[in-house]
Amino acid sequence: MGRKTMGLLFAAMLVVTACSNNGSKEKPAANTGSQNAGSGDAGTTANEAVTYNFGRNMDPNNDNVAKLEKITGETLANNRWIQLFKEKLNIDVKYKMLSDSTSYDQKLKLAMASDDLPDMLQVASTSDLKQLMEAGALEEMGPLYDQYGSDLLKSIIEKETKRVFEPATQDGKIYAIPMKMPSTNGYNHLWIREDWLTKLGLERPKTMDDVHAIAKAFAAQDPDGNGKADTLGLEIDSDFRYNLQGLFWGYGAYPNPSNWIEKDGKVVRGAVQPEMKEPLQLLQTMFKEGLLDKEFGTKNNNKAMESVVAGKTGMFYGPHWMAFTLDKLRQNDPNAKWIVVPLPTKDGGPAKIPLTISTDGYMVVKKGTKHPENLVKMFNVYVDALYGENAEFEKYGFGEGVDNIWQMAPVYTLDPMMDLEVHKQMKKAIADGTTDQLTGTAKSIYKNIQDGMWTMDMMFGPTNTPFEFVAASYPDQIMWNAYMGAPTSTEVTRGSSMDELIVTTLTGIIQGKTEVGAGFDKMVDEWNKLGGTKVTEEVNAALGK
Amino acid sequence: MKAETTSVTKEGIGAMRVGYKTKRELPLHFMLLPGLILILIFAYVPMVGVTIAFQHFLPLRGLLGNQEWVGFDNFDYVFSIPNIWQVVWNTLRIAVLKIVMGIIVPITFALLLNEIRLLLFKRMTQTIIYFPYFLSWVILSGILIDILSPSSGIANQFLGVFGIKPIYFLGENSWFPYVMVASDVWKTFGFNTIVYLAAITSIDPSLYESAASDGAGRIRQTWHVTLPGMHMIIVLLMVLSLGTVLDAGFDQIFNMYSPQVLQSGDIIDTMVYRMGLLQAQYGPSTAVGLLKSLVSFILITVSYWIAYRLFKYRLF
Amino acid sequence: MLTKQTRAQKVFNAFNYTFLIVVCLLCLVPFIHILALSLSDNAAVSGGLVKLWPVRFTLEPYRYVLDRDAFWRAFGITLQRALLGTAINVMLVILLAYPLSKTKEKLRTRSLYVWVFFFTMLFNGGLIPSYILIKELGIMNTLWALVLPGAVTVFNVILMLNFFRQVPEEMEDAANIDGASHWRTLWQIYVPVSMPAIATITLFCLVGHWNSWFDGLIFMRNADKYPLQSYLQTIVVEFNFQTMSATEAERLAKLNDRSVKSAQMLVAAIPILLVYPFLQRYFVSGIRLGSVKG
Repeated sequence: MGRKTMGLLFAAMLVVTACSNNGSKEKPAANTGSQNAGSGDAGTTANEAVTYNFGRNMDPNNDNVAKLEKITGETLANNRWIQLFKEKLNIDVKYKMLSDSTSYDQKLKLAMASDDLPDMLQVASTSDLKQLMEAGALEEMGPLYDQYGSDLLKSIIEKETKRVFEPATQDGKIYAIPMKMPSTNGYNHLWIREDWLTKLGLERPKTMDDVHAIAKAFAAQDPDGNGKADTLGLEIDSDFRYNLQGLFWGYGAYPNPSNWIEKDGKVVRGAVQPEMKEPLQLLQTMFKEGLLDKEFGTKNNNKAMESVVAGKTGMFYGPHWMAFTLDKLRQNDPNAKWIVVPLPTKDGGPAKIPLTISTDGYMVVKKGTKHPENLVKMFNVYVDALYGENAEFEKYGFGEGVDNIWQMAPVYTLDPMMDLEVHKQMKKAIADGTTDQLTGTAKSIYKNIQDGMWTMDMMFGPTNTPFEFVAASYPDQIMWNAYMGAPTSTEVTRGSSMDELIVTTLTGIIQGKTEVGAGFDKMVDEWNKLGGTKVTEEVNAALGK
Repeated sequence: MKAETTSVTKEGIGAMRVGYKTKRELPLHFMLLPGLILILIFAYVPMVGVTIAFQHFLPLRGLLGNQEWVGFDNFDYVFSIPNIWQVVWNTLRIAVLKIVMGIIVPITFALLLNEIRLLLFKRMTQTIIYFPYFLSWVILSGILIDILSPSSGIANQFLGVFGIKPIYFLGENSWFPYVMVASDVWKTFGFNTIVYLAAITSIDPSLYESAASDGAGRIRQTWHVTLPGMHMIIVLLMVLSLGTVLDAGFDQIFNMYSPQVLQSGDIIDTMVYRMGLLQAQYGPSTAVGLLKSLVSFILITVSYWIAYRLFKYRLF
Repeated sequence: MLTKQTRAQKVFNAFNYTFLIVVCLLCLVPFIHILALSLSDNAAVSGGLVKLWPVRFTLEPYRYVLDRDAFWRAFGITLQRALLGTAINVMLVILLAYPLSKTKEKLRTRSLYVWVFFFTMLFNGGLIPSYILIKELGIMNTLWALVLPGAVTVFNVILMLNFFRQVPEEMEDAANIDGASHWRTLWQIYVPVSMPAIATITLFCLVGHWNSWFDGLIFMRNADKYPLQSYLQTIVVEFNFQTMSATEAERLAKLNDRSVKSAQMLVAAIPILLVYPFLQRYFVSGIRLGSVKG
């Protein structure tokens, strides 16, 4: 079931962006793309035939790839994208490394260690990227991007922030082209069972006290009405630093290891700031009161969510695509009704949301490869096919019932605002009664919703959805992480010990084994001694502070 | 690579003296040749890689080429990791218990199965206990979390019948290592029984007959015929299993541990894995591998000689 | 067998049967659980509602697996690899174990050989040099990369040579007097007498090939050449927020169908589960040969 619905989201994303380009301020940018024709739009220039070996993190055993092959006979090695690049740029693409992400990183490391890199390749981890740059193994891309990149490409890649190039920059030179994805994926929403709220006569939460009260009621007042005290207040799992971030944000605390925040002119790690104490205290109290799973410490997210899907937990924090998980609950309990509310905070004010710039990694060119500018040209052709004047998103984004065709290309980059745009257009059309005039993705998503596709409605619908909150909070409440580069040298050698210290202490605090105040301070002390002070210095030095 | 192969083989051949004995030995050398060549190429040639333990290894610079040699710095680094000795202790404790139980339990089962006269029952039992070996830890961990849960797991419900309070098997440091040992033994014992069964079938049946005619019952036959008949295989597997004394089972522990049992459950391999998450630290991880090999090598060699002293038998 | 059972023996037998039955149940339960998962609706599975009986029974997961080319392609590769690899393994084990089972008097360089082989059990150069070697030999992305590096299974050689040593020396001496060559002695005396051991080792090698996944992940640069267990590794991945990007996690969340995973798991395990009962008869024939010998 989930498999069928899943691609529609992406399909949706694409079309919407295309629409937004056609119908909004973006339009001039899209147009000027073709003014670069001489150098940028290689479609008109007859290049000499050239073949490149590619390395791409993509699973050829993937469901969508299989589906497309069944229908049209296309494979990753030879499909519409490969033909497009051949036709427009006279470039032949051969895949040298092509595998799922579990092993791609490992293969890449081995290829690096044995000096066996493809001509053009995707690099996902910032530390691999750093090593490649330091070893001088890459062609510099910055000037080529400036010279050959179409305005459309630039507008998409830099739409959120130009800082997306930070991890690919060394000594002021840029070595890679980002494969942009929506950073709004980094949101952590509060999901609540509305049918339980109504049943128990509760208001939607505005403050953290409200959240606590609801959790208490959900655990104690038998919301599922089976006469047994078998419900929990709030879902939590052993990865709470990631999966429960939204709760910490309510107190201005940022537990995710990627959260580097500005404080008094310095950049510091969020997880060791005193703001962490209050949310930890709340969780400790909730644990003592029996509102949390006593065994959360040994359960991963999948395992912990079972309780939600079984209808025993009515509140959790999670990203927008948790709708796919909740869809399963609806099959177990058709009465379940979910809402997403704006993140509650300690005092009821707006929460600050720390985001990392989202990419699917970076495309780089091995040093010594002929015509490295061809990578930029391929990106131009790519965005043109999806978002340009004559975009054919039905062909290149999705189509024939196959999802994620956009991903089956040797290079790709997506408009990071597309999810949000779907929501905005649909909401406006519904309010104005002009849903029949919707175009592109918004149109097909709307149709899906009309056809009863619950997940789409839950994610992109006009009210009580994750994207309603995103629309209200982006970009005003966004806080980009202050440091997005590769791990510093001390982080590399001591990072895992430092991280262990944090995760074991925090788990112990929530379980009530350690006292919040003294326990947390002691942890920060030890963390600093283990290397925290040094890492902080290194990060600040890297940022020139 | 090729040059190396032939030179070593020549040495082997050169070491022989000409004569009848040599002529008689020659076919034996030929039988060894294909295996020898394969092992030289696929095991000895890559051993140049241990040099990485003494380098500040950076990718893209070649294996021996432009690398910085740092002597024993990587080893110093490994021993400077906080908690390293705790981790080594955890590893030893879990691994040694697994080795001991991994020998006792399968032997016991092989002997029990040997007492079964119903052939069909015997075969079915042997096949069924061999099943769990083929389940991956990813899958098993989810099942074990359910079974061992203190609130809803069957294990604790069963213990509750005897008035035992629920035990948080996977969340308590005092229990975690033993749960790892028990679940690993459960998963592998059926498979490991096979080799002992093969050993039992190789025992000369006439020995049983003469024991029976001496009036020995089943238990005494087991004690005086079956076990002695198996003892070389048992000693051999004991000695070889010392090679895993620093492998406490990465797959299993990685899938079942959690921050709250790091103190008793973190082993060398999981620690190295977490170190590697941040960045491929080739030098230190190769150093760890080398140390593990050295320890195993010394242990096995010593026990090989002890076994030789005791039994006047060369295990290999 | 022929002796009359004493009371103690009867008690022991009763205990023995009961105990083995209980242990069998303990070993079967997880399988029944996974079978139930694979026959249940994914929503019920995700809610942890399925125990030992399917909830909202469906055959859809199996239909999906049957229709999945990638699964069968990987299945085919594993089959080839297991057959070719095991044949090479067992052949080499026999060829190596025979000379090494000889005494020092019959093969004077024996000790040197043994330690040359034994050393490789414990020391290895690690992944990087092996990868470079495979690359330089030009067998990357081929079946040989999965078969050749592990062709010599030293553990099995040591096991086998100990079994070969149990062959009574008189049998070999008799053959020698008849003028039989080493080659003939090996194939006509040692091998037939050691069938239980050979069956055991064949099983070890088959299982080893069937279950290994890491080499496939490393030496097959394109994932469409993965053997079955490497392929399965890619589908059982769970969220790991430390190594995964948000988009990655999103894709996983959407593809997370645990019924289908369970079905693939089971279908992948069945062939290897069937091998053992098949090989069991060689254990019995071993006994028969033994009695002839006595």
